[in-house]
Amino acid sequence: MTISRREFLKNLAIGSALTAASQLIPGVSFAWEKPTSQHGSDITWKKAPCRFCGTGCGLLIGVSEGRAVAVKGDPQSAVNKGLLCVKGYHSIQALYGEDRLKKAMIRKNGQMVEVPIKEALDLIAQKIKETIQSHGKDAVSMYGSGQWTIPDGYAASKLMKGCIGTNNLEANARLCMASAVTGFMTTFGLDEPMGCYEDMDHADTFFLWGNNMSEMHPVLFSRILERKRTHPRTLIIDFATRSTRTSVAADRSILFRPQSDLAVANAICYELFRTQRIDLSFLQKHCSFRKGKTQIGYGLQDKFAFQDTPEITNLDEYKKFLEDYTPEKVEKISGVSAEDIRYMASLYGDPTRNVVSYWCMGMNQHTRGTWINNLVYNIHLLVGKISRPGNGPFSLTGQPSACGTVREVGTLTHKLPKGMVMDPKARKFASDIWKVPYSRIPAKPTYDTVEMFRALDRGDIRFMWIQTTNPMVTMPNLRRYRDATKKQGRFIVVSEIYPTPTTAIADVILPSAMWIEREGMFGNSERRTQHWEKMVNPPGDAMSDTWQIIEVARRLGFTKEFPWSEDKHIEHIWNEYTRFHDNPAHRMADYETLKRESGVIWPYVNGRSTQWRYNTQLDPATKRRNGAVDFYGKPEGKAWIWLRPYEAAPEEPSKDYPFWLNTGRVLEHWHTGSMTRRIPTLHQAVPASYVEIHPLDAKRLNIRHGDKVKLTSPRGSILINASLNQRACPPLGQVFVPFFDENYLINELTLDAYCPISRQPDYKKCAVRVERA
Amino acid sequence: MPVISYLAYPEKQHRATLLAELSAHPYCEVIPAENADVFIVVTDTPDRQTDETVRTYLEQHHGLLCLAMIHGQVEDPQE
Repeated sequence: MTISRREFLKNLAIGSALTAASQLIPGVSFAWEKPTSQHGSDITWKKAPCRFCGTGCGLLIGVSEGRAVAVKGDPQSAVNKGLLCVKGYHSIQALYGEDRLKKAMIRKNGQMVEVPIKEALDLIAQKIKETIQSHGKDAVSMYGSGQWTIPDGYAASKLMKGCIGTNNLEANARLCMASAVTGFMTTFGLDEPMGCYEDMDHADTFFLWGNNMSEMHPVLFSRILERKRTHPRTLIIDFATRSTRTSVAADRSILFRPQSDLAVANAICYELFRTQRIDLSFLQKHCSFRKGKTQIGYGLQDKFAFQDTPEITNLDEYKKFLEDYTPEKVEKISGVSAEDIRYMASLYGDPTRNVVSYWCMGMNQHTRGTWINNLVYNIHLLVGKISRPGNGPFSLTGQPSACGTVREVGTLTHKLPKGMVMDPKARKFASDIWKVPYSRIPAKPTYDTVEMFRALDRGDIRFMWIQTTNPMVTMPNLRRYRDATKKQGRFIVVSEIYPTPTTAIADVILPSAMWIEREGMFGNSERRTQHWEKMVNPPGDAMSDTWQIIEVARRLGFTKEFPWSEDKHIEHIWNEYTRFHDNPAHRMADYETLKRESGVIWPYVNGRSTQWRYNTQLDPATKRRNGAVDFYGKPEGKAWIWLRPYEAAPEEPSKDYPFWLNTGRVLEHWHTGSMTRRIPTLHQAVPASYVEIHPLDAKRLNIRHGDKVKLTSPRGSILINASLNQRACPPLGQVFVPFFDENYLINELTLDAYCPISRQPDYKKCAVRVERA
Repeated sequence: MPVISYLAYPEKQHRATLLAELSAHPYCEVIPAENADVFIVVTDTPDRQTDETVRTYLEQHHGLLCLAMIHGQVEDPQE
């Protein structure tokens, strides 16, 4: 039997709906039999992780005649079990936008002209050499991404740190995950969550800290809703600064004033002591106490420097510290009633409840991001609800390989694939594996992301190669950094798949192969590494980011360091990279296992994923097995409970700028929209950005839904349409703007203040004026 | 030439009439669940404008409690 292409597409659409229905309504059945066909057999299905968020959903991609034609959820994937969100179902259409970049371009006499890619690669290598000769190696920089594949990031780290010999390597995960990293490092001594998504199948209490999970991680949120459906005792607490779809689905929506989550977290701890809900045995065996510096600034000045100094303290001092955070006192700071604070503490402290805390940008994009991460760990440590199924703090990621590439490979200025550049042992280890002179890897970190763009502005950096990210939409205080790129004597290379505001400022554009147009690996939020093979050819001259780096490295004379053939280079890179992590605490799966499985979780030891780290029964890296856990990231095997106070945000609403501005994402679009806005269904669903305003604020300002509104901060202003009572609603005195739309550059208004420890900017809080235009 | 699938949740009291109505619709195919109040609706239309009309018809149908788009494939004739 043969069927037409349209019949095939219909069957595919029905198949997707069947899969979605079976996930939403377990046990549902439909009287529909999938027709068999010769045409259907032309489709080859191959596995890949989704290209978009950090959830890492497993996809099956249908390829026919050299083109990706279909997507379905991979039922073998432990992440999504066959379910996808609307972005995942439409993901392959991002490959086929009409304006895909297919040819390299070079700016000549002010105009971008197409050139053979070889010419562009030659020019990049020449400019790097010239810049080093004229201004030194620290005038050359590279800015990558949590969307880089693991091999992309590894090649970049080896080129910049091992070959050129500069630590001028950063990635946009600095803007989204750095506070989670420093939070984990300061409390546990090792990065990344101890638990995994399977916690959702064991927990009965879910705390969402400033996390609109129903839109940002919809598949994971579906798993939580399913848990609630099958276990009615389950509670979802949405603790946030605005009401969203997540609030509607939650059992309790509790709103707090921006920045005051610090005070509330401490108040929960105060209340746990008051009600004697502390697991004292766990506390004594597995925790010690530290305090750090306070009044630590906000990183607003160029060359801002800060170094925290942990100071040993004790339980009595900690209890005394918490006395400033009684529920009644914190109610005044946060707007959260003392009753609600006690309610939250009662859930964390209930010995019959399994509790998981989830967060994403709300806690990480915060001028005290490290502190709030520490404080949520404190809560879990006080009640011993950590590192066991259904219990733990869990930071979700927003990009598909923020963990796998940026955090694990270490594509940040202070990091190496294993350890920090400041550590001589880590530099020696890297130089041995890379076969480069030890002295070539610099011992001092240079610039975090914000400071890197400031250095470009000042002229300390002259050359920047940007891959797989769109900083001319995402940088806070954007105007300063966009103007910096246009200054005389700056040379910007951008590797991209579509024209963006970042390619608009480029001197050279390299067309990149996207996702399944090349082989690669991503690492998701739960330490899961996922491999995919090349499935279709990239268009025109487009080339993978890994291979672009290798081509330039060879032109710079580093052929010996990058000796691999084009058909096998990913396998060789993986084999070399995993030597960095060949220990029980971080062992990665071998290449063949990754090719075979729908992802495995590290530490991967003796053919098994480690789902709950530090658990003495489940984690092969634990050594002290006389207790429930061994926090082996710290020398004494104990996690640190930090005394971190509430401190105000650097910029608060004032007479001239009376509203808080919060920015973020929407379900249908991913980050700056450079891919999802080219998918017709998603674009039509949300064609333009908007500003959410509380209806009473709108009424007072004579603003109706759809009216043009002028938003002004001390840094700039934009005109944008008002949105009233649509998908979400901010409280009085706050507005929210999604950043996916390059036609409304909301980051021209945001402030480039950051957490002094993580150096991650705060995109959630600055002051604006709202006027009807 | 769009092909779109939806999950459609009918109002209980309108389930039978909605099923009959959609089954008779020239651009809709309906597959009702055997053991739950949900339909799979597939629309197969000749162009985007017709697709838009059909979608609006579905979205505004008083017998529908909720309509969730699941899969969409849009192929313009020139493709």
